[in-house]
Amino acid sequence: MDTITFWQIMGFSSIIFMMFMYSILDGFDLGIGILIGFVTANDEEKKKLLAAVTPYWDGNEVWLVIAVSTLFAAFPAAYSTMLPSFYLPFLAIIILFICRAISLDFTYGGSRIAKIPLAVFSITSFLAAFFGIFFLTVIVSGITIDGTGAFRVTAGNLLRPGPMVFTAAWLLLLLLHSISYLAGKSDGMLKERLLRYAKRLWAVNMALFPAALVLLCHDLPEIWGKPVIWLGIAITISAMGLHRIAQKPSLEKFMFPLSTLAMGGVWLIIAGALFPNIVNAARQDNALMTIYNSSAPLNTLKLVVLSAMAGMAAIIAFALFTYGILGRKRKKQEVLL
Amino acid sequence: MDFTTLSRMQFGVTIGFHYLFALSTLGLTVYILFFESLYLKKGEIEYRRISDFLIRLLAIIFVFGVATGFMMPFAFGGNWSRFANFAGPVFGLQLVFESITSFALEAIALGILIFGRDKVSKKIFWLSALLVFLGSHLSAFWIVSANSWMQTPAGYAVVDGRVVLAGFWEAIFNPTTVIRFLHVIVATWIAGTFLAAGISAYHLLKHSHEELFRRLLRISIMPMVILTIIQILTGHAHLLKLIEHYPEKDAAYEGIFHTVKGAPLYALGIPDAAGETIHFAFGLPYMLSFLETGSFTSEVKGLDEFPRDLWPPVNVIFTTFHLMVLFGVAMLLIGAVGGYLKIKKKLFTQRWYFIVLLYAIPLPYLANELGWVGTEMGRQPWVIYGLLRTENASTISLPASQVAISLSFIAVFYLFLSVIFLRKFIGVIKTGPAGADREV
Repeated sequence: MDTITFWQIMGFSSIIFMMFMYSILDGFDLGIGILIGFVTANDEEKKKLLAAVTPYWDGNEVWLVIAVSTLFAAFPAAYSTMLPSFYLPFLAIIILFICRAISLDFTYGGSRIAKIPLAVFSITSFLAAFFGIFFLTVIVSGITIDGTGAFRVTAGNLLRPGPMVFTAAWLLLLLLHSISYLAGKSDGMLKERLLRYAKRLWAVNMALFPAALVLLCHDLPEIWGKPVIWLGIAITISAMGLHRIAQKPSLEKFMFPLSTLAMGGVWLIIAGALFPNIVNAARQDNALMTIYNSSAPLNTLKLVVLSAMAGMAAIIAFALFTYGILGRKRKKQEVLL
Repeated sequence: MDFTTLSRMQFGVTIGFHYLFALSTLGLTVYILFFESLYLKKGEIEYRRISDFLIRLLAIIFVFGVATGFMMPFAFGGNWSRFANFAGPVFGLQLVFESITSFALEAIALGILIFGRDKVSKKIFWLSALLVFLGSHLSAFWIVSANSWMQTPAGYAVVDGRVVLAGFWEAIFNPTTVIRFLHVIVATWIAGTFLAAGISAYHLLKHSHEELFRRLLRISIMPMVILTIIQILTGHAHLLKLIEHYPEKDAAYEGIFHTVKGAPLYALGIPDAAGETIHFAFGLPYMLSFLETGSFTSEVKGLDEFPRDLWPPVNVIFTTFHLMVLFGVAMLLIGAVGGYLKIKKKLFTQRWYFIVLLYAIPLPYLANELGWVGTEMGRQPWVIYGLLRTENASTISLPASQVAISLSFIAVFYLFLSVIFLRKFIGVIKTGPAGADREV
């Protein structure tokens, strides 16, 4: 393996890892946004769920921001081809993220929960998660790339069972992940309700996940020779199997690590299905956008990857420290009155 | 309208809107760090009350700033894809550093500032204030460095039709990075002092939390004056850098069409690029030559030294530059009056001055926006000076209709965001700090 190939692979792996971190961290924020209207019985419970999001969401979105900027710097040709190709869909997703962040800030109307901002937060969380995942599964399943290398998303690319079922499976996994997080942080009726939801979501997910894999195989038959795909499948299925065992009051603290592991397995499948492409082409196309033909020169690539790796380690350490502090119970403080 | 023009308009709207929040963030983090330092050292609860109040304002501003900031990387890749592909190896690198070293620091530490007051010790809380201050300023550094690289590129080579990094430090600290960073930072701090003074004036007019807002106003007055004077000096130093590295832009700022000895410094006037003159010009004769070289009779290069198609849009940038300077002078006067009243111990007895301070809050914001319009339009016809023209930087695979749709939507959406932001922000200002004042 020559030097630049090594750094191109490292760049690709770094972006996949950043997206994995984003999906497990902002993933549960998104999931809580979607679930908040369904799993809560009153304003007190809603406040508990919101308290699990408000201090952390911007820190969690850091992972998406660094993934996007790393893609820009490490693979500028891919970045500058992808953005115009999905111009209005990307704009729509960004607007959804803006609405979501701002509506969250408005959910507390004094001591009460403000209904309209909460509804906006919930709907935009669903739409952002749905379109984000759908977009990803579409580019994994393959899109049309014309002779000039430009991407053309056709109705044929979109209206396939593969991306649709994969999106549904992943979205449900995201919800299961959020419930896993919340179950470990709650008690009483709320916890019982969350565990009930977890069992239902798990059952549907276990039916959809194999179907999603079979359909992915139909779209991309060549990926089955890759060991990383099988590793991803093994991790996801094992983690999901153990998750079912953990769905009881005494073991619920294991649910979150296990759903995180399952998400990690899914990202391995995604990475395996894409590599070495940044975007998969529909079967009849031959102009591919790969990490090899879209990367920055070696010196930039090396700098980006090394700083991204050091930065990721620092961000994880800092986030663990900060979240540890914010997870503490309040201590007695000077009274302002 | 063509794709490039629409994309320029859209970029102007999105960055101009986002910048209002970015500059408020920087100004407020200085105050918060200052009051947290006082609280840590002296333990007086009043300092904490001011800081908590400012943190509540920062929390709102930060959310809008982060949310509207998502639009920028989208624009680089979506509307300016040929720029992204051409300059990614240098410009993209600076964005990576921005997101990893500073945005992460700022976004994560801010969680403690907003939600962690009663969960951590005073020292850890102070440390969070320091990290948010450092993170936001470091973020500004990387963004200004990236923008400066587009103004005065360095540390690069062009290989196979795109930029390659040839010198990391030369690119980061290109000829105008440091002075432009200082100019931008001081501008944001000035905005912070005017915001703090204006909010104080509002409460003093309403006789609410008077003791606390007297402190805030008293602390803000002298920095208003000192920072505005420093800003005039950084602005001047920036122009000297331009003479060396981007002379046609400097000539356009000053309205010098023809190379001349003993050039005047225009204070006012209506530029006429077609007629190559400044109508109703009012200024100081020989002063520009003196400021630029130290000699009243030295030669100043005019726009006629450069091909006409490389001239920046003189009318716009002369006007925005001079309006910015005018607002700067107004801010200096307002600060100086405050300084005089403070020395004479009359600062809190002049209600008219409170009214002036309240209505002066937008002044630094306007000056900042005008400054950026001047600097960005002043770079035309280039996106990267001397390397990539704007018309060659925009995306070619997208139809103009898509940008027309996005621009229209963004304009309406941002108008809506402005309304809800102002309602919430003004609501928090009116409510004021928690708790009641203590006699000190």
